[in-house]
Amino acid sequence: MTGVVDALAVTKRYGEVLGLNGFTASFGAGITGLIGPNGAGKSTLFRLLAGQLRPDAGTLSVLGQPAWSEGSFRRRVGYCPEQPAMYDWMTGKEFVVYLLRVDGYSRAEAEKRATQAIDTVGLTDAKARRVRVYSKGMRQRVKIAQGIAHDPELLLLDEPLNGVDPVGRAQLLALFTRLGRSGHHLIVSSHVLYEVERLTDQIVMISNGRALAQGDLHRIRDLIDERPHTIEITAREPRSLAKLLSGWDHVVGIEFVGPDRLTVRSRLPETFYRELPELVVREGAEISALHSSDDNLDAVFRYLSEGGR
Amino acid sequence: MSISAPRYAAGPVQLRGRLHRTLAILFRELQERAGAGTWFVMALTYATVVLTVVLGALFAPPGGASLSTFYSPFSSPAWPFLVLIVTTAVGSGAIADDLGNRSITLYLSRPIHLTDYLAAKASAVGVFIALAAIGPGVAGIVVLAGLGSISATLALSAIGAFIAVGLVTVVFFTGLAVALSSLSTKPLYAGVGIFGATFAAEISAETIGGVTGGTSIRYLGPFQDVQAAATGAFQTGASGTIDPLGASFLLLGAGILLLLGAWIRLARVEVVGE
Repeated sequence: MTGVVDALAVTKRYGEVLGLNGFTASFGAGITGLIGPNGAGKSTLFRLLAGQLRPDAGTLSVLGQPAWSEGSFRRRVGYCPEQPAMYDWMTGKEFVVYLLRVDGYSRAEAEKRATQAIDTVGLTDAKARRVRVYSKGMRQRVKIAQGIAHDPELLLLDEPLNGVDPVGRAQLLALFTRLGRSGHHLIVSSHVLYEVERLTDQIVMISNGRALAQGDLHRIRDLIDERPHTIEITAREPRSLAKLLSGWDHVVGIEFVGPDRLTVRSRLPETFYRELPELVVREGAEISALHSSDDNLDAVFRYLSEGGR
Repeated sequence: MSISAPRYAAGPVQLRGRLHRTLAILFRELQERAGAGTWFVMALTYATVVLTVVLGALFAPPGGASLSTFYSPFSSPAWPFLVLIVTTAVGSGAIADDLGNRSITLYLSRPIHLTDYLAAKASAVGVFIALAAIGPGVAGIVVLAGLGSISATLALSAIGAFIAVGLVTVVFFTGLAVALSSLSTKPLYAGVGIFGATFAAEISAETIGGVTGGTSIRYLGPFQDVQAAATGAFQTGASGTIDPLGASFLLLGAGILLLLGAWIRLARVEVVGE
């Protein structure tokens, strides 16, 4: 594996609890979403990447360097932790300036970069206020500002949108997209699937400390093509339609979910979507709506995390 | 609030070295620890010691003040006790705060050498302890010299003695504070540890020494070691139960070992989630 981040059979235990359990994945260039429910091991992986935890087993490299090591390569990494991790008595700008000074920037350069980073995350108006009076969303923005202020090659964002208002979310998502397009590598974790879906198609799915799947979202969808897809159909005469559909080999289940709605489970969704219009024309079936609940990331994740049941 | 794309200046930036980064941490730490509580205890220490030094010299027995006259602040445990309070006030949160509020994560994810981080933290604690352990004695001497009550030679000797005793005190209490602060995520626990460890050692040394009549056990008491070091530095001529040089080396050695212990502890720090 030669990704921006490579994890090979990484295990991390907290006493009896397994944080990561033989996690293997490669995070490539651009934006990668790390998706998993709470407690899946996302933050453990981020802490390992940020050098805050030592793997119990396996190898983990960040930009070609072992993650658990002191080294100048950390200058090339920006980290936005999930926890507050801030000095409340400082102003937002002082906090960012301070961390830049710790990175080795001169005062003048640190001031300049901090101002730019604060502007970038939309905190200009609040930069002179103490962090202790910030809302959760503002704290998130400051954490992101300190993560991007030194213009890192790789940015680790652990649940960066937690507590951010809807408008802020949209703004930050746009910012992450721009950072990705400008040559930065971003690993963004979230348990809110639609957020990641809006950012990237490159995803790593994690559950119970293991990588369930990784790659292009559509390729992951290919992985589960053997699983029957569920399509909800709203029709004028659902029973007649069900009778017609039941004759198709790839339809493995039909269920009535309302007076005018039925769900159909097909093993070959592409075939289903190709043949359905022909059926409508040929038999005169009236269909007013089609909805595939599998067409979002949530369904893919649920399917994979349930072991394909 | 609006949001925009980053506009960083093109071109490489010359980054400063380890000393610059260590100093950045040191100055931030000094800023954080310089609270009202710290200055209150500091003021109390200065008032007590300066008055003791000045009045001790002004009311010196016939023949005038000598170097041993300035031993007066060490003749009771009050002075080391005040230094202990300052140590607790500035040292208990030195590392415990970073562990507790998880700002340690921001250091661990940066190209910071653990040695630099620890050096900055210890230096900040040491500066405050030095202000309490060396400053008041020196200030008292300066006042006396300014009043023309003592000769310049005596003033310089006394300042040297205060610095010598103060430095071994600073090394020991800095080591103690940093080591115990690195063991907890709560400054309160670290503070209780600093106080508890000091008094446990002091009381044990005093009690066991008193019961058994043994002298070696008295080296266990930090206050007694400081007093012994002071008897040597101020040439009191008193033949105490503890050797001044031995006590000084013990304080220095213990302080360095405690700092080493803090380094080993921090090298193993892992930031575990909530």
